[in-house]
Amino acid sequence: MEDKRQESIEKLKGLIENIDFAMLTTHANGKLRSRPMSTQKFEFDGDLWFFTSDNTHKVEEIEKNNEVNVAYSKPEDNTFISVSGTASIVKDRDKIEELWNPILKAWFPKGLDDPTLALLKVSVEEAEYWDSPSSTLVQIAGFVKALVTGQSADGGDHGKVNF
Amino acid sequence: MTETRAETIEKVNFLIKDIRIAMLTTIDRGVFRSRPMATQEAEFDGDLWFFTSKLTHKAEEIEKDNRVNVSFSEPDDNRYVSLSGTAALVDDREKIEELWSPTYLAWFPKDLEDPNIILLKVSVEHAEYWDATSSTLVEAIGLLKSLVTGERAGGGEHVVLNFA
Repeated sequence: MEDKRQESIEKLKGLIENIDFAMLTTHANGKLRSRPMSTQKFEFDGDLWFFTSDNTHKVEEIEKNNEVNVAYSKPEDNTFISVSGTASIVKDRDKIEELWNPILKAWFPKGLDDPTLALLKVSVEEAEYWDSPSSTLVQIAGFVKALVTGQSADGGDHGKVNF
Repeated sequence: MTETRAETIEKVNFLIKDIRIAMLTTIDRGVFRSRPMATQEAEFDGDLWFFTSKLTHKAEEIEKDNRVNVSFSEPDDNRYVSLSGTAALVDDREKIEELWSPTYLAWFPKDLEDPNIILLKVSVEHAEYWDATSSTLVEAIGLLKSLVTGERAGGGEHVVLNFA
């Protein structure tokens, strides 16, 4: 069981590592809202981490309903990943410092001194992916079939990874 | 900033028209699920249309809870669009024939003879987009700021559009 989880983690890690932005979907007063989030460079161990400010709409939304989805799209490689889980806001200074990277100054010019700086942690429960290793037309057609029907198609791979 | 519904629709159409695959998020027993969907070739007029099969999970999910989100991502030019709305399955042969394109043969090799072909219609109620048309570093950083904080930043724009 533990091995299986580790295998799932490794698979998902490989799929998402080069995707810079993911769309985070939350419940927002009866609607579903998405927004792009910058992905962090860290070793994925079953939790996803994003930097946020603790006074944003999504923080309020997560406090009311913590179910979220994180969708990764890399159209040029025909890679699409759906990650479902529960989100929480983490204001642990040690963790913030551990994950902090100077690149983040683009978003948070005050850096670690920004009092609103917080982490949005997503504990991953389920992941699904559609992945096509080749870009030939035949394989795209096969892959695209999987997109619409939800069935695995010849050209690609639709996997479901449970955590 | 007041835009008419027509202007809003035109703006969204411009932002999404060249994005071939979108992620459709539905609610499955309390849990969100997303999957890639091939986008329509027709101009966006306030409703999104997708071809699907009657036999899929998402058809069941939408029957139980019709709230959905459709997100469009174009990483190469930092363009991200979130459309919220309600979904319905539409089994209308005329509409299916109107929207059909030979491109969809890749998904439905039986062509329009396939008895399971059905349309998934999303009536868009709310749209948000993040857009940076320039790729210079400064502007990209400006955009990134808005991505994370939800604030409008120098290089890009974050706009909320209502379809009321």
